[in-house]
Amino acid sequence: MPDKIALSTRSLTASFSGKTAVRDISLDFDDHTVTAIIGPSGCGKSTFLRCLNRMHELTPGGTVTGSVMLDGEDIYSASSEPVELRKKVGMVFQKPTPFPTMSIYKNVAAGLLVADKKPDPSRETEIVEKALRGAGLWDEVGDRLKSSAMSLSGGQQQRLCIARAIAPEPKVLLLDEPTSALDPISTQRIEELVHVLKKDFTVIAVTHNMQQASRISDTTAFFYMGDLIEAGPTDLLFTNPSNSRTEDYITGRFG
Amino acid sequence: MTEPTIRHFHDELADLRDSLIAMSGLVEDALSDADKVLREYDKETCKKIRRGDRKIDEREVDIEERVTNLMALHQPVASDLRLLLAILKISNDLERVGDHAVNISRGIKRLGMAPTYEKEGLLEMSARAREMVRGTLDAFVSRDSRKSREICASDDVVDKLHKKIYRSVLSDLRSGAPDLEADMEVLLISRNLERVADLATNIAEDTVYLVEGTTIKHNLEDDD
Repeated sequence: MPDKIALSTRSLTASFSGKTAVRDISLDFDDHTVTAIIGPSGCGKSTFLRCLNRMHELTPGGTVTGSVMLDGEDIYSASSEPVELRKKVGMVFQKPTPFPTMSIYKNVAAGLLVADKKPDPSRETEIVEKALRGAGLWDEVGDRLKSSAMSLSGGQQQRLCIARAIAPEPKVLLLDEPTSALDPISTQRIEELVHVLKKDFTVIAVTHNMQQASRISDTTAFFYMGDLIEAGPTDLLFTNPSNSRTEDYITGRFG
Repeated sequence: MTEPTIRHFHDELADLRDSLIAMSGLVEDALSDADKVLREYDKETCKKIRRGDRKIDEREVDIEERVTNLMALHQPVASDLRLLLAILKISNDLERVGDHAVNISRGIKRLGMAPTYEKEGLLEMSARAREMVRGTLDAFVSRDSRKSREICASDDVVDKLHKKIYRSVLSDLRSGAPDLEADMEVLLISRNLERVADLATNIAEDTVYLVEGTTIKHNLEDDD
């Protein structure tokens, strides 16, 4: 059982132009586990996720208070560099976002540009292959790395984005509804991939698909109207939640 | 979220629960009839128990199919999941109770009369086992885990009554002039009644799991 905490938030509050979207969240994410964040639309789950790699503050009017501890440091401290941070906390979005003018290879190598210095070419080739293998895409694209990323299917494009996100070998991988734009088979591949990814990374996934949360995660956190209502082992939360609002939400009585 | 589908699911779940309650009515009738022939052999009542058992079996199959469909189509969780599992297990236990009622009636039919030997003991077991079945189903319907726990505890009384009859039969067998057929049937009827009480206990345990999410069977709760 993992016992080390990879990332933790303390009294994290996020607002949009003074309007609170996420309120006073203190949550620990264990090393090499998958945490699913669930909740109805507008509950603040994506905003919370975007606070974990300092993307929320890029939104006009977006402010954050509280702390997010990673490697013993608060990512919101004055000395913390967002660019450095994003090497350690990768992110994949709802819709696949490959760079349309770049080849498959360049898309993955672009993930390394986040890192301060570009590796030498042979090392880069090595890292790209490793990332594509890690994202379960190598067997499908290994022989056509120079093809445009746009020649890939939606599911493949999403795995390409995962490869790009894991190329700099981050500690934490954030997934924001990673399969909501994908068909069931591509979704299944990503879900299986998440299971493999947790061996190397700590995964935090926002999903509005509760069955997906129950399938892929070790821990589930339920957000409602900006508050963290309940977080705990996924099997327990889906068989016997301790809070009645969690119960009502997961059994479809509201939301 | 597709609300109409979810609403449909909860309607189905409520129907399923009603069907289980109807099944439990049939089982209680079977036990009442078994008690009747235990007092006085009556061929017609024995037939009625067998006919009733077929209806109980059909209910069980119907409930099983509906539970399977709801699980496959709706992937229920939390209290919905626990209720579906409880319905599935309870319907299975009730079907077995129905079988025991049939076994009792068959034993009496083989004897051709209500047992005279250890009759009081058997009637007391029958009364207590019936009370447990009725109580455990009431507790399930009202989701009363406290009452369910009381029922689990009362199983000991029926076990003791069964042991008493067992010892009595054993001593008759050793007496030198045993009534082998009566001894055999009395022991079998006693065993069937003891099993009915066990199944009532199973249902009570499932109700505790349904209400509290706690497993109390096999005394697992004490180990925690």
